[in-house]
Amino acid sequence: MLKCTSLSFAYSPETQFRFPDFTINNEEHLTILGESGIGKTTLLHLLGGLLIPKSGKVELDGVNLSTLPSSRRDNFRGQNIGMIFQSSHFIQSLSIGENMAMVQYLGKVKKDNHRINDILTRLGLENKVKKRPNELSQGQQQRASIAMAVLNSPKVILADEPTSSLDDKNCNTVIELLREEASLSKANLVVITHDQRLKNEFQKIIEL
Amino acid sequence: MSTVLSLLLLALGVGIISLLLQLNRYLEDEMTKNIRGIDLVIGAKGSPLQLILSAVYHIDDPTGNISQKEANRILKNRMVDFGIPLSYGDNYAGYRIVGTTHEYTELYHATLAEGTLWNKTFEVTLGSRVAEVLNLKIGDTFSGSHGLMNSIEVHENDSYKVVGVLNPSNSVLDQLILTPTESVWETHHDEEEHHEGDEEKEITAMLIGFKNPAALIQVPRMINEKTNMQAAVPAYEMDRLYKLMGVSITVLKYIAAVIITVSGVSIFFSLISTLKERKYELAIMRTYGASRWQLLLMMLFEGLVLTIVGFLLGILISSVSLNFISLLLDSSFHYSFSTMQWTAQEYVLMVSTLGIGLIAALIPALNAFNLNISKTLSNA
Repeated sequence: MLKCTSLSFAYSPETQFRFPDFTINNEEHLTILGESGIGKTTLLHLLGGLLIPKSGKVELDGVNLSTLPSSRRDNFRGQNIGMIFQSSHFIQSLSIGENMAMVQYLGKVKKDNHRINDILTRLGLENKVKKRPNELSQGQQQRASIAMAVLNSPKVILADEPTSSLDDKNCNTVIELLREEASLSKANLVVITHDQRLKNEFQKIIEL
Repeated sequence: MSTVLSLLLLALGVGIISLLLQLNRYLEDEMTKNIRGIDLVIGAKGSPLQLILSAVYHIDDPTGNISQKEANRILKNRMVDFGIPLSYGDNYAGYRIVGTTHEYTELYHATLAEGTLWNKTFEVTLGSRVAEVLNLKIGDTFSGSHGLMNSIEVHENDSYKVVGVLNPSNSVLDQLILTPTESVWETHHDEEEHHEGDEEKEITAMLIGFKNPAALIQVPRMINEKTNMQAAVPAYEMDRLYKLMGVSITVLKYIAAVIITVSGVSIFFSLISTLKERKYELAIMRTYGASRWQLLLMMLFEGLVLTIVGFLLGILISSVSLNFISLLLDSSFHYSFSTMQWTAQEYVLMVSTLGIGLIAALIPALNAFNLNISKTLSNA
């Protein structure tokens, strides 16, 4: 269960953001729709505990992210929050398999090659384990970053503009993948986007 | 690329310092080892350092000859414990032939590997290294040549005969061919036939040991003032030599320390520049659960690994050069040394090198610690 109450953030006195309250229950998914510059990424970073709100709180299963000490918050994020960014992010000097192993290591989850292979197979990347990230196509990279986000069975998956650069067909594929992976992990899915195509995809929608 | 450069710099600095440490230690070791027991050297007038280098270490030409009768008079002094006469001037294949008494081997506690010590004229006992390099065995004969270096002027008619070989004693004896003083007289008597009858017998130098160190105050002055000979104190002369060498060694050490410091600065810049390239990856690691401390340690560790590699490379450079120098010394002076020694000084060098690596990595590590992940990710 993810709950936000009276959340606000200020980069400077002139650039302040207020966000609406919302709660999503188990296995509910949410789309946050808004034009660019409206604070979408800021909200995503607040939800992921990468930023600390000026006021209000973000609670995941009753844990208030902003009151956790820094190291505990990092660890909490590694174990409970999967993040997918606009452009895919890997450690370029490591292979896909090693990147996955690193996610398990940093999340303090037991190393499990079996699970890594399972997820990569599910996402059609089984023969990319030994490839470097830059040897993958754009689409493969995006699927690989989904694989990294769900690897540690997070409670919530946060996705930042996962479909904005895709055509309708691929847009559908990615949304289906995200939905599938979220339900396999029994996770809430939060997609932040300006992509109007996603308007009616999930039970809940918030327009900023 | 910049990382490779900093590594090379570091290796160079460490290599120079380590090599200096090794050489310095080796020289001091070798020098003191061979002085042991010799309080005074008597020889012809000239440079006292030259006398010591030629009579104790056998690496320089002698200053001349002295009369045996005059030298023996010194032995009558009641403070004198022993006096070992040395006569040299010939060599075989570059190894010096030294006419002396058995006391010379006792001085260095040398023992026989096989055969006996020299007794009759033209019998020789070989130092271990001479026997090994020239592959000479008991019963073999050879002719010496004039001079102390390998030369073509051979004393055809005088044949030396090997009667024994010494065990290695880690002293100058290992590089010498020992024979009775009479052999040297015979060799040169034959050639200088103008000497008739009861000629004055000469030796090259005499090594003196005192019963009482107090003798060092009187005897040398007495010899230098009242005789035609010169007395030189090895400990004193070598000390002077160290002081002279010490200055250049210190200068070299400072240069090497500067090189190491520069390499530290260049490691710093290379870490800072890779940090800029990898800021993004560090932020990603944070989102996957890495803590600030993990990133801090990671950067410090990277600096440490760099300096460890640099240090090991430096030690490699130093040990390769040491072997090379040993080969050079061996071919020109018949001196060689054992391999690298690892002592407290090397540990100090290691710890200070690693310290420099840590200091160089400190600021990049703090930058990684204070990285603003949200901002870094948004600026993708």
